[in-house]
Amino acid sequence: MISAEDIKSLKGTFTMKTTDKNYGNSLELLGAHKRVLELMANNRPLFKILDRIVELIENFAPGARAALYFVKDGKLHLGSAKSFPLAFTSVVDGCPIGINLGVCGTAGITGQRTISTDVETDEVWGTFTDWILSFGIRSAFSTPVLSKSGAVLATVSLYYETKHAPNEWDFEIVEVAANLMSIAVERMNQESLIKEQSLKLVTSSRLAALGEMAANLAHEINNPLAIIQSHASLMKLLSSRAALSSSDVERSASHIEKTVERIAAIMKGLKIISKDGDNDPFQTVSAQNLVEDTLSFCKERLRKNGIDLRVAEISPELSIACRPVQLSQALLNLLNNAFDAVMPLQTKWISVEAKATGENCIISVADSGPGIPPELKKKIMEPFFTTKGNEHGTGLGLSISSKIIEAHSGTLHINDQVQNTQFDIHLPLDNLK
Amino acid sequence: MKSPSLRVLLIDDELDLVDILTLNMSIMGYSCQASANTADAREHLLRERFDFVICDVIMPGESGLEFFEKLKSQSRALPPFIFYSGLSELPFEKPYPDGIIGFIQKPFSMSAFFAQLPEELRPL
Repeated sequence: MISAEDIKSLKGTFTMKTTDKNYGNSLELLGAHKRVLELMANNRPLFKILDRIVELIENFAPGARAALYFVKDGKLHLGSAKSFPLAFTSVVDGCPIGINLGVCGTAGITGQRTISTDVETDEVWGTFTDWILSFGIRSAFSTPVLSKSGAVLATVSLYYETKHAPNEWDFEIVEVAANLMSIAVERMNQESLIKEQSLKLVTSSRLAALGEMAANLAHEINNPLAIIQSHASLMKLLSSRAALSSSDVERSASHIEKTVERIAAIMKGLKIISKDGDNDPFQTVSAQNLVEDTLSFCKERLRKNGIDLRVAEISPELSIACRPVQLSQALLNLLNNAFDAVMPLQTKWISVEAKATGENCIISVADSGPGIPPELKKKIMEPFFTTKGNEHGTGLGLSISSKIIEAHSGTLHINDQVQNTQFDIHLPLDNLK
Repeated sequence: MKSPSLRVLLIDDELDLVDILTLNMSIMGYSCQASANTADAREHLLRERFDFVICDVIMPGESGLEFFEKLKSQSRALPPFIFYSGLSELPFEKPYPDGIIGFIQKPFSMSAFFAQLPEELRPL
């Protein structure tokens, strides 16, 4: 048991100044530590958390100004130093770490706590002595934040306007701050890893879709090319026999033109999968064009596989505000799913419809499949869930489609009101305003 | 002396291509019959005699290869088949299976097309 007397005497050993109410109170320090952890648990942005760590230090270590720097690639990177002027932080930000490059730079390179009790005489400031004095700083110390493997992740530094020798209490505060900082850095690294990985997944699912379509694409382009080449052959043949009439040329030329248009439509559809479109601006496009552009890409594939494509007439007045490439990708994913679903069936059809109902534009993709079993309804929207087997699906199509639609303030629904399988994209017409 | 007119059955759902191929081949002295699907082609094969068959690989419903396999199991007296396809991969390994005498990749010029035919089936 610690008596009140003990605490008093403990405080005594820590004390330099006793003006602040929080000074020397370990329990309160623990409470503050917990509150910052709570912020992290609530996924508050990193800069807010770092600001709170600085506040915590300055609140418990009176007279100190705190600065948090990340150490990466041999340089200091500003975390938070809200009590310092821009003239200070902007110079330190990007400074290399190294012996006698200030307390941060030295702690950053050595991985050791670095203390300067007198800026004017301590060597640790190197050529920075006058510069640091110009901010009224007379003493400072810096503690490295180490990773499990001992690498320096960050530094926690305290600066004073008086010649101050840090005591046990100061070290306790800094230890708490360093602990919080190490958790923050770890979370930051994990987050950027997750972001990187999910980016890779989106790319790989796009590549998988591209691969699947490449064979199909060769077929869709080689067919019209065969028509064009046969017309060229015909004209050469007729000409070699001096039998080429102007009506022959006209007939072949117009066939070639028509066939080139067919290839051009396929190429137009290609942009849907070759581009990510994530950063495209919102545009107002006609629903009719959007659906047609998307279908131009898979029409031939559906026809060749004996799938009856039914496209209900879309009002030319129906417009959608969207990122067209992205929305086409979402629609194409639904069409591809429908394709895979109807292939094993006796009756194969896919229907596409777009209409305005009240506040929404609804684009529906239905197929001759028997509908989604209720137990799978939630699951199919999750990433990596697939019923198609590894060869065929990445399990990302629907989850990406639903993410894209969410980014358009819309929703993706499975329609239970119909007998067959039907997915509805609801997009608010409000987007137009 | 070759027969005055070689009879060809052309099976392809791509009607624009069938039209222009028929025109080219007619000028070269062939007598062409076109079929847009395998069911129609089967009727022609039952009733008429052909010197060879040109058949697309990928078609709606039954594919050209499925059609050929089925026919082969039903009759030994089939005219030789030449397949063509827009796919870049051969749908079967060389040497060609019995009854198949060629595979041509789209697109092709007519001269390259004729060059792929065995001597006795080339134009006069």
